[in-house]
Amino acid sequence: MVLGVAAAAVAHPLGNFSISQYTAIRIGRDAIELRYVIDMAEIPTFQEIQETAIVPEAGHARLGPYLARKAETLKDGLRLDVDDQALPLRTVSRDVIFPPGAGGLPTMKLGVVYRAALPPGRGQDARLSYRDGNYADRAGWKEIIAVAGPGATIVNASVPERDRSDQLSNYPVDLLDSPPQDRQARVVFQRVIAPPAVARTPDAPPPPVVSPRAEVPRPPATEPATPPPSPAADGSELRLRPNRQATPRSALADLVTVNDLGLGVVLFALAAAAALGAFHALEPGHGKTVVAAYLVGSRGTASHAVLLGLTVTASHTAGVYLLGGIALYASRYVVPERLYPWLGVFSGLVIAGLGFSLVLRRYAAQSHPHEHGHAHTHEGDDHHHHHPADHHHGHGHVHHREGDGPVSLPALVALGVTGGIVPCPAAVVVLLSALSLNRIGFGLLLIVAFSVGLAAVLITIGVLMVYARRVMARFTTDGPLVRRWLPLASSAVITIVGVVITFQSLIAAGILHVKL
Amino acid sequence: MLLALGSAGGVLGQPRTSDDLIHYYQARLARRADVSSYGRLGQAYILKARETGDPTYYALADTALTRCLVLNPDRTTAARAATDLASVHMARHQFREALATGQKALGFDPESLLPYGPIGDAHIEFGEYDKAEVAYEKMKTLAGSFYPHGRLSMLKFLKGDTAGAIAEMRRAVETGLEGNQPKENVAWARFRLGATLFHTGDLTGAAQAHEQALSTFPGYHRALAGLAQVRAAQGRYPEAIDGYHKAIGVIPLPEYAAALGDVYTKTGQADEARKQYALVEYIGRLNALNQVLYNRELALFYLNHDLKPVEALDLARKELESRRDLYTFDVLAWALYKNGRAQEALAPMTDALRLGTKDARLLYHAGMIHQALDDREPARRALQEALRLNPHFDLLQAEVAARALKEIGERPGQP
Repeated sequence: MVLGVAAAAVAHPLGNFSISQYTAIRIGRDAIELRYVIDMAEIPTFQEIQETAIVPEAGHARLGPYLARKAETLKDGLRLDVDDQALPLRTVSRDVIFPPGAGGLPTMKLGVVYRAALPPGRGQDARLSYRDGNYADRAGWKEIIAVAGPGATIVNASVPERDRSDQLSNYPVDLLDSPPQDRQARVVFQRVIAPPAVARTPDAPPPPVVSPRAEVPRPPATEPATPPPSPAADGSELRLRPNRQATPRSALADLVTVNDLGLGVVLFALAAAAALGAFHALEPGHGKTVVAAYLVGSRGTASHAVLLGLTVTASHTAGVYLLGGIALYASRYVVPERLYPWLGVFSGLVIAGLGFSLVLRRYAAQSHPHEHGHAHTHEGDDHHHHHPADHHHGHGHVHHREGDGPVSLPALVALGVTGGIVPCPAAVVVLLSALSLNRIGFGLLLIVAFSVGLAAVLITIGVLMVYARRVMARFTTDGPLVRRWLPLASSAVITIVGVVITFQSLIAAGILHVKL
Repeated sequence: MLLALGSAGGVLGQPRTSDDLIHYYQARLARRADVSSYGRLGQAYILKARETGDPTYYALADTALTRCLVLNPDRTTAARAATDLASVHMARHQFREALATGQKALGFDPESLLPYGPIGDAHIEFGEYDKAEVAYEKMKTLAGSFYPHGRLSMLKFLKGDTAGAIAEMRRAVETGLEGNQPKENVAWARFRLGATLFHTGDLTGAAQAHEQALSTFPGYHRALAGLAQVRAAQGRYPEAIDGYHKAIGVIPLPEYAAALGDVYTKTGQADEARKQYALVEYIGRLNALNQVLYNRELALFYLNHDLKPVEALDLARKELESRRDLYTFDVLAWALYKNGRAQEALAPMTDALRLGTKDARLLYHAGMIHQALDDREPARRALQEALRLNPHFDLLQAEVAARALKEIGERPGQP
């Protein structure tokens, strides 16, 4: 909930001029196969189109001859040696796609499968060295992996066995997982000697069960490792796919980056923002937990629900503006990332405190059932009006009927404010994106729309809760469930939510360290 | 506890490749998230970005440095990280942020001198040359450091002291070598030296400097393009074409494509030239899509090739919103001139020349503007001075300057 604010700045995984290269070396018993993929960003694609006069459309007549030529040109840049002997490569299959990139401009992904026959082996270690000399100086994601197919095992390798980019279709660019720059590989492998047609000698060396691999000096990937490119029996089939990063990460942030702002676009963006706000209210973690818990426990009414929903929304909006303003004016490193947890700690503590005081009051109230044996409903009004003075503190606003005292309002508002003050990253991201694009007004407007959607859902939930409780109360008019345990449980829930928010925020702030 | 931070790469002794540094600090951080490693990783990413020109690494550097700052570093580490972050802002043309972040770095550690680097750089972009000088002068007390010299050199050049600029850049190269500065940094200083020498028309010296840059850092794209520019000026066109192609192979910067197009034009290969010019426009379009600030260079390209003058003027005006240095005023003046508004061009041209910069391009623009206004004497003086400074200042524009001067009539005896 707390992280992910700063991520919006990085729009594209790699630069528009990058050329990424990928080789999966698949070692079999009789042959080595290279699955070679080139991913060209917008600018090199444009250059390639200029140079070769191809048309970037799948199935265009000129693509076939181009691809055939290109596969041979690229092959010349590759060198594969086994035991210091260069192995000639043969093109097995090839493919090209043109996924749309920035602004719909074409990018190009090209894949070729090469195969080299292995000279008959003698069952001992063989040394493979591979070098990709294509686009030697161009920036990009340069990845090589080595996998053993059936009939071969890898003893050790300078490159990993699994890829990180899912064959150049999903680039995980984060701090500890920056683009690999592998342009060459060394692999030591063993082959299982082909059993003779009639197995006469039982003393053929058994295939090693586990393939020991040298530890690759690279930090472990943070995300679940993608499976190795399916070393299927028919390894020559290529699966070229467009980059997954082309899909927006945040639907809301993407709205602000719409380029031409016609009236239709604006209206659509506002509607979409409201819808996103509504959905966002349904995600866990928002003030609505508090809203719901409070309204279940207290004798709240529909108007209380509306008030609480509006307060949560208003404070949420204010929180977003506040954070945006701070991010804009204060400085670069009181970045939201840093401020955010503290806001969380603050609101968590207030919520916990409020919840705890409710627990105390309700617990105290329970020990005097005679004074408080009233369900706040229209039926069965057995309200006692003779509280002893020293017990007055024991039944705060929650026991008053709707509108029968200003006491209830401040607490309600306080709950709403603290429930909403921690803005969600999505909203902050929208605002900051708008700021960075000099569309401040539009960003603010989007936030308002977002909040309206949020409010609508929160209020609906609150009203539903109120009526649900009334329905429940109708059946167990004066039972202990409604009278004692529901209020107590709800205040406990509020307290726990507050404590959890506080701890979460402390962990996010780096104050608390939790070993997982 | 924390390591004292010196110059980039200093802690590890021998400067390694940026990839080694990145792997080293990534591995450290994977074991334990310590604050100084985040700063170091950020520095390594900056180095990688400088080497390759790939903005991906600036984004990574930004994240690493911001994380370093969030983790409550001690003040020395904080000042260093903020300084580096300010450099990232400069590289991304976020000048306001660069200045603010540089000042923040000073706030962390008022005794630190490194923040004056990006602070001064930002002042340069705002055209606040006095403030920039004050900042750079402060840096000078960093004894034996690489950082002040390159900056002072560039400032001296702007202020018309080209000889001083050359001497200062030579010192940058020396201190870079002595201080075991990363190879890219030394290569950068050599490339800048070559570029400054080119301004004086010293083609041999310029070529030598670029070649040295390339032997320091093989494949360095700036030096490849710098050398190609010299080769074109020397009339060695095949070498120039080859050099620009190599530079574009590393990073297709629009200025390289434009210059390559000019060489093709000069050698009568109109088709090839058109391809390169189309590439320049294509990149301009991409940059607009990506909200990258790239107005000035594109405007100059349009103007020099008599394309889209109105759009070029718009671009120049837009650039002025974020940058008020003399080269931006120069492009504005040139754009007004090309739009037939030479009278209006005078004021920004005066702004561009207010430091007395000895740059042939500026004087050429001034001369053409005066010629359009029929101010024959100032026009002659400016054009003569431009061609005297560097008769090869631009492959195609130098011809235009010479033609204009002939029209006005060269008067013998003029300096």
